[in-house]
Amino acid sequence: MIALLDCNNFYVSCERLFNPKLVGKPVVVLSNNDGCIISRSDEAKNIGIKMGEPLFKIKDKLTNNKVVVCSSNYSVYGDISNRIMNILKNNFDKVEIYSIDEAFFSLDKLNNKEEECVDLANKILKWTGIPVSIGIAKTKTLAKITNRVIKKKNIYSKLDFHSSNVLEIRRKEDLEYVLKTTDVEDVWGVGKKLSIFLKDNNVKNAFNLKECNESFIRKKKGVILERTVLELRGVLCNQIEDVLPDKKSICVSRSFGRKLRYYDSLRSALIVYVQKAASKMRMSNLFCRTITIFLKTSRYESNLYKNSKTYTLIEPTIDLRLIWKVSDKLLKEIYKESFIYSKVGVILSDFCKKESIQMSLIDEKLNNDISKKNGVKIMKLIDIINNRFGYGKIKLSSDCDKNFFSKEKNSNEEISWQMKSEYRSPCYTTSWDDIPKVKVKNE
Amino acid sequence: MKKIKLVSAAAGFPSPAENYVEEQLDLNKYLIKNKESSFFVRVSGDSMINVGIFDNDILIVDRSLTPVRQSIILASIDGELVIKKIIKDKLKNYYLKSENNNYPNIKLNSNTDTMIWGVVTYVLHSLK
Repeated sequence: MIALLDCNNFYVSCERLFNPKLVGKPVVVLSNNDGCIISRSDEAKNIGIKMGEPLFKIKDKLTNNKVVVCSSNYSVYGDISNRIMNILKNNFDKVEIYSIDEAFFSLDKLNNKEEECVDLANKILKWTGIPVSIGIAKTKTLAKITNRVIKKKNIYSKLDFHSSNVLEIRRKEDLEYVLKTTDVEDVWGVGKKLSIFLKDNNVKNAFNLKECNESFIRKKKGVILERTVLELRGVLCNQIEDVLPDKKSICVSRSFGRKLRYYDSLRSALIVYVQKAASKMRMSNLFCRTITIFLKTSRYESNLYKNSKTYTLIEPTIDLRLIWKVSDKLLKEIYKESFIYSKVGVILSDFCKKESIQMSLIDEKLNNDISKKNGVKIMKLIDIINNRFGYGKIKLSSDCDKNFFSKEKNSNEEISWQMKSEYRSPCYTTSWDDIPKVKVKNE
Repeated sequence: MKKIKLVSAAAGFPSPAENYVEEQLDLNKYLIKNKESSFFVRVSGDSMINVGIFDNDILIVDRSLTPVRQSIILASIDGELVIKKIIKDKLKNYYLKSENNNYPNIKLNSNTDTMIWGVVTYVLHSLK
């Protein structure tokens, strides 16, 4: 048996943990750059606020209903997520972290599955303050559907819930009822595009999909969807992947808070992303051979332009200085004046571990003033210092934008490329200056 | 420029202490018994001086612990995070003691707007 743990309204629950005033009120959390709604409290759902709605479209609705709006605060969400996943890993052997707020885990060899899951959910709520739901089923696809049922308890009141946040649908007729009331678009791995094809073929809900001829599905849409059909029947196809596959590439890119026109501002954004990407790569102890830089205008702009360029090194590197040198050169090559840009980014790929590096006989042209020998050592030293004194204490000298790493919200024009996050809460768990203030007196 | 050594290589005689080297004391391990459920908060106000909590001190709060009589706890009262002490009366009712005489003690379980957030385990107080 497989269980899926899913945090309820995760980002909103995190905001509420440190700001109990938000409990019981409609709350929404916005995506990067304060663009769209990405997390809603139950109260906000009841008002009719939809997932993914753009902020500017529903501003009036939010004000009229006194909805509390928060910018996303990933340092808090990441920290709380780690705590939850650690509790899960300490209690169960086979765990696959699926996203920031979801994890699959195996319940094989357990006698009282439901009880163990209830205990786990209670422990997570007490220790971290985050409410979670756990769906138990034969396959990942069915566990996903079960979790959906827990969240829509009021519609499925005829099912017998033993607890409010853990469910295994045992009776055949109950499962059939659930599948018949699940739109095929809401089945894990189906999505909008596939659902159009399926609905054209009269496959409207999960039950229809389960009854499909699997070889027809395979012929038309491939093996992935065939697996979904089988999993709906209770045939295990997707195993729990508790060993993370090696990373294939690392991409760091963000839309700007305000559109940028000039090369210098693009460059000062890119250098921050390159340093982030290189430090992520070092955390996995990888060396990269290929560096790609991309650049684009907003798709709503009248003058459209996008371009990317890739450089492949002769020998894999871990050295930030070399990676930046290449990135800087690539940006110069693809940058064109007279466009208004909304995004720039870097992709590092073609990774290998230190042991499997093939030494080249000729020296890289770009590499000749960067001493190769000390690269690894210097990078290690940078990480040690930044770990102790805070990220960004040591950085490339070309990165002259001193404001980026300060935690203060800044409205300065010069750093306008930074993300918009007007309603961000403090970094409660990752910055000493931001830890929650508590009173000793209430008056 | 001076070179910074990352790994110190042994030269000359090996240290006689080598076989006795143990891990250095780690304050994190001492102060935090449960990493997943522990949080830091900063105190504002000085009406808990009598229990050793001063203005601007940092407290370690463990959510996994169950409070008992005399526990110092962090509670959420009407949406605000407040430090309180738990007391018990003769009828064995538990209260959150108010440090302000103008306010009554808050009976536990009587008010849904009062919730225990966690138990305070240590006070970090600077003498500077």
